[in-house]
Amino acid sequence: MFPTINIGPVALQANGLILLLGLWLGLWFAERLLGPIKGVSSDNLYNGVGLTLIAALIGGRLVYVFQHFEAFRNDLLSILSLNYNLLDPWGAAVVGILALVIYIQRKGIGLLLYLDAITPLLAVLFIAVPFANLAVGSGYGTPTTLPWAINLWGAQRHPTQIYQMVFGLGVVIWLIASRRKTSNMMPGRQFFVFLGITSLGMILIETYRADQLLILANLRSGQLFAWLLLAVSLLATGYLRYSYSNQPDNRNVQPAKNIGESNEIPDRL
Amino acid sequence: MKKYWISSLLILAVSALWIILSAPDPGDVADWRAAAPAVGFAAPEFELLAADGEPIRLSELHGKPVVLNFWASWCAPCRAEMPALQTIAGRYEDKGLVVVGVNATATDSVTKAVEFASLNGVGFPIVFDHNNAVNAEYLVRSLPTTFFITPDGTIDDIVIGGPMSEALLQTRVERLLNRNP
Repeated sequence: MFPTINIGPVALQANGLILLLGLWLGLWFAERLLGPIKGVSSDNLYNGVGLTLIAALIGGRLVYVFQHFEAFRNDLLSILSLNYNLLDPWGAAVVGILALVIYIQRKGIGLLLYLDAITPLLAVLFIAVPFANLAVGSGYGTPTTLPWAINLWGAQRHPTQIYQMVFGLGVVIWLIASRRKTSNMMPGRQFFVFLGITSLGMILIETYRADQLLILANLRSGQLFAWLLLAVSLLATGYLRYSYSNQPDNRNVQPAKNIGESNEIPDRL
Repeated sequence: MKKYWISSLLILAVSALWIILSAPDPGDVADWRAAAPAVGFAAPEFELLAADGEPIRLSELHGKPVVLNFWASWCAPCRAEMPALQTIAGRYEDKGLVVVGVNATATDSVTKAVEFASLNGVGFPIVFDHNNAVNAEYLVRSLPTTFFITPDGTIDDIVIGGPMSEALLQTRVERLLNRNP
């Protein structure tokens, strides 16, 4: 564990640094794999993600202030505090996603194309988040006697953070390997397949986490959420396959190379 | 397409079954979280002496929400957040809140700590960790670090760094009070 990195008198929070590094690497990786995705430029990628982050921070802060206004009433300046503990995560997510959707629409970019474009970024973050958790000891596993257990919080535990990182690495390798096929994929398919694979992985990995909120009949909330995402990904992928196969020019035709161009009629092979 | 939907339903069914079969026993969950300086765990027990020589034990504060603030007089953010801590301590005293300042005395001095507390009207107890054993027990690697402990002794939140604003302290304390049994 290394929650802080001390550089002289300054103590930097390791998890924040790791997430920033993950974001930077993820954007670089997404840009490298952007080629086959026509209609989304590097600028769109960076600007969209940047806008989402800024909107998420503002939205997360505003929602938090709204929820706890009594606390801020006597100290209005603290609304501008740089402390990240004053953020509502759901508010941040909703406002961030809304900002992204508006940006995409204004730029005339297809949502499914953009989702495919940011899939590599999400794949890298899927590795960065457990790494950040490992740094502060979050996302810890259940006790075990397995030889690869790690000592954390007074017990030998499943290294669930490492499980997720290794799984994430496999997903990244899959993305690189499937890069050549991206141009033949219908828009959105890569994102939803990624969503399905990672959801399945999380259902398995969450089995060994000990910090889960238990709901309903002692079911792990993380697993339930992953199951819902899995259902969404299967439904969406099925719908995409159905709608693609029912397009008049696509019946009995092999997928075109430049399918990423949303309005282009695919070439016959 | 029919095969796809059948496969999808099968995947969903098998994964749902896995989730149900792997559900933990509530008794096991309690065993997974023995005393450790982490959110969701029981706060590690300690006993330290205050300026008046009286010992303060964490176990004796059981049943009350506790804010445990690790600080030192040479630490600028620690000094900056003391007024907010004092305000919150006073505001919620009648609701049972206890604020305890744990001074990292191994790298500070009792005289300077007492002087600072006195000059700034700090009314909550300050205890002295002379060999930084409690700092080490709580894995305090930077100052200030603040632990928010529920009445049943569970760590609800940890804030590393500062200075904490009064608004942040108030929201965290109100969450602690809402968990009051």
